[in-house]
Amino acid sequence: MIEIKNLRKSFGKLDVLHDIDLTVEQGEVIAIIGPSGSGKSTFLRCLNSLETPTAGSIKIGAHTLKFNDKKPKEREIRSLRSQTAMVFQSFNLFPHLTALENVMEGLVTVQRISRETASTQAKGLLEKVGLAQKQDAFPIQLSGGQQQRVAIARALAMNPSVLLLDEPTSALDPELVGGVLAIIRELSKDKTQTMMIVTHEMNFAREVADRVIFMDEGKIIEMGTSDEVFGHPTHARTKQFLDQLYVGIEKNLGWGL
Amino acid sequence: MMNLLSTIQWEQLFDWQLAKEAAPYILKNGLWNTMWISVVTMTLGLLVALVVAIARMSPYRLLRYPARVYISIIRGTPLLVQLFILYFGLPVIGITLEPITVAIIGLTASVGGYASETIRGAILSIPRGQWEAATSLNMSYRQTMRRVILPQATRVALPSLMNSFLSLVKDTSLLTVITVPEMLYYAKIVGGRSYDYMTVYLIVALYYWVICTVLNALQERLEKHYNRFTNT
Ligand SMILES: Nc1ncnc2c1ncn2[C@@H]1O[C@H](COP(=O)(O)OP(=O)(O)OP(=O)(O)O)[C@@H](O)[C@H]1O
Ligand SMILES: [Mg+2]
Repeated sequence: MIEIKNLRKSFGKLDVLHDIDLTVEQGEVIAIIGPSGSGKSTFLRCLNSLETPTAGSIKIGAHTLKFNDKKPKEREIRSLRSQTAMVFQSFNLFPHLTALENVMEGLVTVQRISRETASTQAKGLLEKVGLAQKQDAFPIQLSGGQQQRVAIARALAMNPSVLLLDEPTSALDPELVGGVLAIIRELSKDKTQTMMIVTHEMNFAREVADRVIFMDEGKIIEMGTSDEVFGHPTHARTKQFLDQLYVGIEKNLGWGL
Repeated sequence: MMNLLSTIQWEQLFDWQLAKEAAPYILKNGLWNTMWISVVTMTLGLLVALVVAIARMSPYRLLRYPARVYISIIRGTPLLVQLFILYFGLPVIGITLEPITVAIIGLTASVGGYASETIRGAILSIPRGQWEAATSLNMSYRQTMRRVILPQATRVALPSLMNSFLSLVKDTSLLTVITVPEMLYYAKIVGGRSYDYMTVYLIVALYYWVICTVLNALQERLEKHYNRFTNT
């Protein structure tokens, strides 16, 4: 369903992604982990066409786009992007619109669906993320967790082939993380919505991901089922990363030696 | 000092008898022109300002440079001189414009120049995440501007644009020198007839003050309305 070949991205002289190859099946949930600056966000942003890759190709559904020195056409970018939707770390809800209007916006403005139909659909999605009763609230009146759930509903409204989530819980207070993860877990259950999630929540990744990708320095270092990557990492750098993480967690919990 | 105060003939400072006749006369003849010229040039000026602001931020030099030159001219020269050039200067090269045409062009251009910088600043103050969220939904540049950026930028720009409008209302008094019949123009007529400029100018000052105070109150209400999604 998704085929990424030799994907490369540089910012000027800085090479951020090196020849990424990845195939994702319909309904798969992929977790992407890796140290800060390894290019995880850049990778997702390339898939959402928020960044234009330097080289390689991306195929999502029936849409393929090859990248080279020539700038791709706006129309081609848009048709590829229409296959994806993004959930941002900092939610990025539209502050001047209510929760319902946020979810409706893409439907009305981009897909040109009538306001009534869009409103019905949007209400259904807000219900799905457990916020039906908050439809008239402005983002400022919602907690971070609620905002992120509205943002998930807004992304789902675009009916994307693949839902991209970039550290959806990193900006949240600890007590709000669970609610957002529960929504994503729920989405992953019926195995229809393809998702790629960048996350630092290792337990969550282990639980929901069909496959886990470990990225470092712009490369996919290791990829496998969550048991493979978390239980028996083969690559030294993966081990090192996971060990550091566990040490960090133990320290935080006061288990340090 | 006391001596000086006692030499002032207070009854000459403000002549109530004259005021009773002059006040309605100035109001009836001048107020309408002052107000419609202000409203029309503000509206046209805002449209110009929006276009100029967007051109000024364009990646294309062909749009960016003319916008910069325009803003620089408007902000770098006095409005009165601009009006003089349009009214007394242009006829030299065979272009003669009615006073009211000069007024509309001159004030619109002025608002366009100043407000464009306000609008540009407001647009640039909207966080990048808003652009990205809109783009991510596949909105075009125009849709993003219209649906996401401008509604938020309006709130940011509003206090400053209201101040521009207050200045504009007061600046219409400059039009009197190119014989546009606004409030000050009629005040001068009455003043000239009665040789009592103090009374009529005080009346005009009072009128401007009342207009600006009303507009100020309006501004506060508008800001409250726009702030409803930032203050809980
Ligand atoms: N627009 C940009 N211009 C220049 N460099 C960039 C840009 N965006 C990202 N980078 C660089 O690319 C590298 C990868 O960044 P990226 O945000 O993809 O990392 P990440 O894996 O998501 O990290 P984190 O876990 O901290 O979010 C970093 O070195 C970053 O500084
Ligand atoms: Mg990141």
